[in-house]
Amino acid sequence: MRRFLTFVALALLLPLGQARAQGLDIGLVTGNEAALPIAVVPMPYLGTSVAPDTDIGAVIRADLNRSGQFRALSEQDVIEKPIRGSEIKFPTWRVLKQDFVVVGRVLDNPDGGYRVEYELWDVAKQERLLGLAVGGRARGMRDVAHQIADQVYEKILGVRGAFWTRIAYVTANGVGGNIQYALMIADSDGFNPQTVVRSREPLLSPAWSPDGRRLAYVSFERGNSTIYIQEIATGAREVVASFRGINGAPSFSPDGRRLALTLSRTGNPEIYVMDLASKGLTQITRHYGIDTEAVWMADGQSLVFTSDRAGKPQLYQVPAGGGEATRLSFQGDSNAKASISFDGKKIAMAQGNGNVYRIAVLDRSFGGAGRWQTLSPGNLDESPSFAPNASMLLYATKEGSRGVLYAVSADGRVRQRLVLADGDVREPAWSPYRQR
Amino acid sequence: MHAEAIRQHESGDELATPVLMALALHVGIAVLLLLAGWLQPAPKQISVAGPVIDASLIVSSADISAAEKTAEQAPKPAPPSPVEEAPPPQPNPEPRPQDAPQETQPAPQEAIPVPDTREQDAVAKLALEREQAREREEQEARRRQEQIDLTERKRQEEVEERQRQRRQQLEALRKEREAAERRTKMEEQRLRQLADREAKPAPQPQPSNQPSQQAGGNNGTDTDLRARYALAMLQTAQSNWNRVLAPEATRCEVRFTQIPGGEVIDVAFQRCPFDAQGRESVERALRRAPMPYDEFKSVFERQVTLTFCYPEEACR
Repeated sequence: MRRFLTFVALALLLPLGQARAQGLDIGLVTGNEAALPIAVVPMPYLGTSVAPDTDIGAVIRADLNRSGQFRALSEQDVIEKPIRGSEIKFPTWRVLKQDFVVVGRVLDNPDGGYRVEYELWDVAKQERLLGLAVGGRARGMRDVAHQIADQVYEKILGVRGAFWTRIAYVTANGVGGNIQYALMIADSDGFNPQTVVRSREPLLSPAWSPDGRRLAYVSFERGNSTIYIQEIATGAREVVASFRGINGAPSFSPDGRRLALTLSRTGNPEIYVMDLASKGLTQITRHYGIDTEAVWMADGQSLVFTSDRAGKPQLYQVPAGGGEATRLSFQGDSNAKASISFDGKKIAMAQGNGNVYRIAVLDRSFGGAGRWQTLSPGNLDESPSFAPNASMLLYATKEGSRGVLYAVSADGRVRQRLVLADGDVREPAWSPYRQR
Repeated sequence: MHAEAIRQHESGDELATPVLMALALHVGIAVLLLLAGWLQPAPKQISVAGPVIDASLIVSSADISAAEKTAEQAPKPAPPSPVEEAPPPQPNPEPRPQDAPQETQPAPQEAIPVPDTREQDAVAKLALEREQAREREEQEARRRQEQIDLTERKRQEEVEERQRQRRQQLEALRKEREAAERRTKMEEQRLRQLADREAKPAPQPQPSNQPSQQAGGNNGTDTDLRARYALAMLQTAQSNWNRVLAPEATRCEVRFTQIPGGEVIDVAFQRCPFDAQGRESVERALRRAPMPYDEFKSVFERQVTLTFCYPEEACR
């Protein structure tokens, strides 16, 4: 009997002993979704010359906020202002519930201009994640700030940042017969706008080459629509398509050797692919419906275009060498003007429901018919364009009678109007990454 | 009649002479006419000496006015005489009765068969009846179909109800099992506390009965300190884990080591397919703030295991 009781006691205590060895299991943590809190401490000028005009910290803060992935502490809440990692008092930032702190300072560059030395710290682990210096000329300090924001973004999220990129768009100024059109490029936040080409006739559909050095666009300055490719640095341009009828919607292939375009030289708008070296054309679609606005999938193997072959505009995919087109969009009354993320998993489009047009994204990461998400409130949102890292989108909308541009984070949480010059702004196109 | 006369003349020989004479007369006239045309002298062509003068008509304004004056003075043409009146309409000839070209009908016409309206009514009635019968059949069929649909719906509802009941039963069973597990765990903990008390007879500092910051529950039945300690740590990790960088429906099992005071000094990933960013997010969640300690000194655990995964329904 005594032996039996000992056995029972041992049997009861054995699992407890095992539990003690493994530690206490407290179950499942499901967490929550929020932007990552980060504090960007103002970076003072410590040189002996004139301080730069650009507030580096403010530009980084605005960039990170605009992405939707971060929630930067506002400058007035930054109660301590360390400029080096050794000066950071981590308990302060813990109390402020910050996960990361960026500190830095601006110095004179021996070769002229300035140099920004900065550090990125993990508050929880009290560990330095980055310690770098970026140099630039006085006029290029916004570029320096964008590059720092890119590096911080990449270090924390593991995805290359897209703040040091550019956007192209078309503006229209004036009324009646005095409208002046301009093809512009600016920084990704809308600053530093520069004119690429001006015209009294409409300019349309800017498209970046994959190296970011050339722009293809449509101009009516010769009377009929004509597709040009223009070198941004030199302004040199060439006519690539000036056929009878419509010449429109150019789009460079990912390798930059081919151009997808819409031509109606046979009477009906169809998608063609032009070999840019030989200017040889391959007709991709043959349908009585209107086929237009072709863009390339990331692998260059297929094109996504807009067609009204089913009655209303919808998106279709077709092999880049031609073949049977497959319908992609089955939600909303109409879908047009596709923009495709770098990995080909997300397709943004202008979706119409009744009289309301919003930017919708079809996410095919999870297979099946994909997930739909609406990113903009409407009513007349159009021309979405993904950032090269697909973390944000640009789109055009109307405010009153004026066209304006918005940047929206890919999850739709943050939406910001871009500060641009006056006038009617439309047809934005986000550039590829800039060459470092 | 003329043909008869000709035949009569042809039959007589005395007619040949006048006919021949008439022919000869006609031939003679034709010959005379030809000779007259041939003998007529050719018209003389006049050619005037001197150069050809080219001239064009030049009309001056004076000429025009003079011409206009002349035109005004010129005697006006007499107005056209009124059109002769149409002759009075002739009286229409009075219709005269014509003689009937046909003889009167010798026999009376056969009677035209009178259509039998009674039969027509019968046909119409039959058609109506058929139509009504068809409608009745259709209604009947529709009613039967509705009945079938209704039955089918009822059957489906019953199936759904049964499924719902089964789900409820399963849910109840699951809850029961969980409760049993909790009871078992509680018993084990009690046993362990008893064992601890026996091992360490010195009095333990009792935790206050005031509700702590982490107070609350997960709808369980455990009320002992150790259960509340586990819940408090879970809530700390829960509020600190920002899952935006972690993949969905992927379980990441972690064991962390803490020191008295609650500070996490090590995070070890047991079974965790998260990438670097996901693992960083887990580590940040555990290190961001100390784990609860002061109220739970007596049940402090140096090593704690937990699983990071979302959404909850995909991770259970």
